[in-house]
Amino acid sequence: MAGTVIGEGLSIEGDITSDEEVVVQGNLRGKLTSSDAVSIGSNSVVQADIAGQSVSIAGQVTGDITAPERVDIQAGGRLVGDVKAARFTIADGASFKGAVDMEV
Amino acid sequence: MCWMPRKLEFCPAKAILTPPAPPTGSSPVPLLNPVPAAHSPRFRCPEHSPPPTPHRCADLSRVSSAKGPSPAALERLPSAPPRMPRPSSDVSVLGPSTRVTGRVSGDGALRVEGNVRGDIQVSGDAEIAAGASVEGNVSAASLDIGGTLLGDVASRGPVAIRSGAVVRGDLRGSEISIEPGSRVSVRLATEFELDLGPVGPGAKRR
Repeated sequence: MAGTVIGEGLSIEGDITSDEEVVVQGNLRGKLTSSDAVSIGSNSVVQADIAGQSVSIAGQVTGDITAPERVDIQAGGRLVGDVKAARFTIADGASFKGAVDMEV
Repeated sequence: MCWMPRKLEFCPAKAILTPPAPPTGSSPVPLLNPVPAAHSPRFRCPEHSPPPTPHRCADLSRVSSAKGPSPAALERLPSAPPRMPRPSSDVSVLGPSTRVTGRVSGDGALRVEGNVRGDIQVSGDAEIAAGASVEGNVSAASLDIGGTLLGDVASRGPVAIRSGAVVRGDLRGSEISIEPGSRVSVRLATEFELDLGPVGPGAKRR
């Protein structure tokens, strides 16, 4: 189990920083920074800039994403914001609006 | 199960009249004192009239459902699994290295193992684990404090302050327990009822 879980029904307004895996299934508004993986669950609504080792998005995210490893937008996921990552995938059925910077 | 042979044994005699009572009670009792029911023998005898047999069946089924727990439990079983995943996603955990600056609110339970600076308001149980710290007001169904809390508490249920906890603020809860070994500087606003006999309507405020 992930170190930090923001369950369905929970809302956080503010900044979160962590050194462990963060799973967001609820709502978040602010900023999320983790040195480990971050995943945004399918029912969650996030308005935040997200930084993580890797970021996986299945819910709705508005904000910029930064991940040294990879960013994945899964089917049904929605991202409005810029992505800065070494690898980036957008699954079939996902939606994305923003810029991509892969530091080539 | 034990009814059938018994009834059959009793039937040639006159004791068959028993069945009306059994559905509620345990079988031996009505069988042993058939006398009061003796007024309606024709009605009950399984050998003389067909109705009794369905009766018996009904009785058996009633008895089995009256002993309820097992069938009821069986009925609950299928609905239990869907419940299982819910709590896991309803329980939020802020891990030991997680720092939150801001407001945490919503449904479900919350376990803080890290650091929260801001108010917490959850509908479920809240726990501030040992080593965790919260600076802000906490409102929850119940609260378990093992770490540090600087702020007011409004709990609908019990508030437990564990050994090693550091708490400062106003505490409001249905009951409050403070373990030895905790450092506490609080104002208690718990509303417990002392058994002093009849007390005014204000006794139960919340």
